[in-house]
Amino acid sequence: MPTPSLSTALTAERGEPIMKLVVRTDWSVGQRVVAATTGGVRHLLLTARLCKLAISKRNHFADHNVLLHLAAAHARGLPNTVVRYKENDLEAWLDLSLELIRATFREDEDARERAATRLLTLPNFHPVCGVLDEHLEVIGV
Amino acid sequence: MSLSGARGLARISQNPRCDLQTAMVIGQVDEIEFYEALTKRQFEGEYGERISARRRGNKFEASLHQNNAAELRRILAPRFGYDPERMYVRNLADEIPDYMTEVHRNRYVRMMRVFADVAGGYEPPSVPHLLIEPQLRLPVSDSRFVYVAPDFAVFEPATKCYVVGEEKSMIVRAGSPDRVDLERTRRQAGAEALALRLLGDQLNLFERVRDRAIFVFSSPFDITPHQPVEEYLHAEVSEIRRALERYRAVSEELQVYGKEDGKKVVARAHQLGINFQNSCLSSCALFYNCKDRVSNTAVVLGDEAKDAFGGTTELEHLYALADGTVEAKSAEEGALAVRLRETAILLGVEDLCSGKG
Repeated sequence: MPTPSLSTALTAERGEPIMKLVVRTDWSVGQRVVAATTGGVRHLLLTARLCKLAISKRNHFADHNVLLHLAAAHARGLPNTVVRYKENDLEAWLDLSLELIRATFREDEDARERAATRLLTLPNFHPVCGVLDEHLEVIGV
Repeated sequence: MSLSGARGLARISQNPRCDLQTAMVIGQVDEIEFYEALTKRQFEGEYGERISARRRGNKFEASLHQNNAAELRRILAPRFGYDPERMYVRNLADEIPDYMTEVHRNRYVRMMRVFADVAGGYEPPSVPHLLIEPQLRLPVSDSRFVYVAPDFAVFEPATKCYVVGEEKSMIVRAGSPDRVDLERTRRQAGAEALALRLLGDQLNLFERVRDRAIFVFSSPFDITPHQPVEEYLHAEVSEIRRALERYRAVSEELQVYGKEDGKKVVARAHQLGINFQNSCLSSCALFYNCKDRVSNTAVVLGDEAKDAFGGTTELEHLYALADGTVEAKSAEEGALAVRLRETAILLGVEDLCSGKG
């Protein structure tokens, strides 16, 4: 088995590379595809992870405040959440993120799997690079 | 300040009869370097945005786009009847970042695919509800384009098509931002709306694309967004069409086609026609250079004087008409001479007219 390396995520519609979103090459195509719901789920997963770290690793980081700031910046994107300066309601943000992940993760996973199944049938689809722009149809250009 | 893309076309549309400015936009010259090359003097006036204003603008846009564009979704969703948590966001700046080659063209190709899906009857979530930094373009010749990039485009269920949007950190007071700032923004959005219309025409989406845009301004409190404002831009789109025609005409006439021809513009700047007007002061670095060029004509007195006396009438001739030392060449000029004399007496400046004062 080849050594895993880094690659880019792929759009669900046509498998176009998303250059700023880095994934591992040993992940399945379904794990590397970004479906309609994936952006939201990614944000929730990140928020939950940051809150969990901020709660459980208080003395682990050289500057814990940076982590708190990062968690708060992500929590601002949670629905019906008002983040006030230096009021870090980590537990509530974590609970809300986990609740929303439970509600949407399965749906997102299904959407990504469906997209992956379809993408794998496309001509010129490379399992790592997706369909490069030069291999896709160019409309009206 | 950048003269490329929608900003450049907005500048032309503000003064389409100024060939010098049009050539500067086509050649995408740096205005300050251009001024210094032209006048052999260092530019000492105020120019461009304050750094603090630019930072605020960047921060405002970043805050709207972070967390899967959560803030932008939150304010746009009610207007279009979406659930903000279910909106599909595609960010073209993430897909093809600025540091890559042929960014504009490649983003545009992806935009065309999204629009082809829309033309094929797809609706969200099969196509994105929200596109961040979509790429559009306006043709300036058979093979050349001006690329314009709205800050976002949102799918409207009523028309089954996208509407372009602009994010500006200028604050809203009494329901509207500053009038001058708003005018520039509307022109910029006009270029984007026109580009969207042309793209729609290519894919037979004619009646689904309308001349309008959504504006997201900042509230007076930090960088939180104000409620989005939707505006129709028929006048601006029409002015951008005119600006495009001027762009094409000047480009053909001077054989200047893009950034690579910037030096040609500098070399021929003295031969290019100008159209000096009051608004040049706030929009163009060459204001004082052009003012010197028209200093002996009525134009230098301002837009109203230009309208009343004509753009080529020399000041000396006006003085002479006022004190009766020259004969009026026409009935209109005779009437003008009488009015000038009456006004001079009214203001008590008869001596000034004859150059005695």
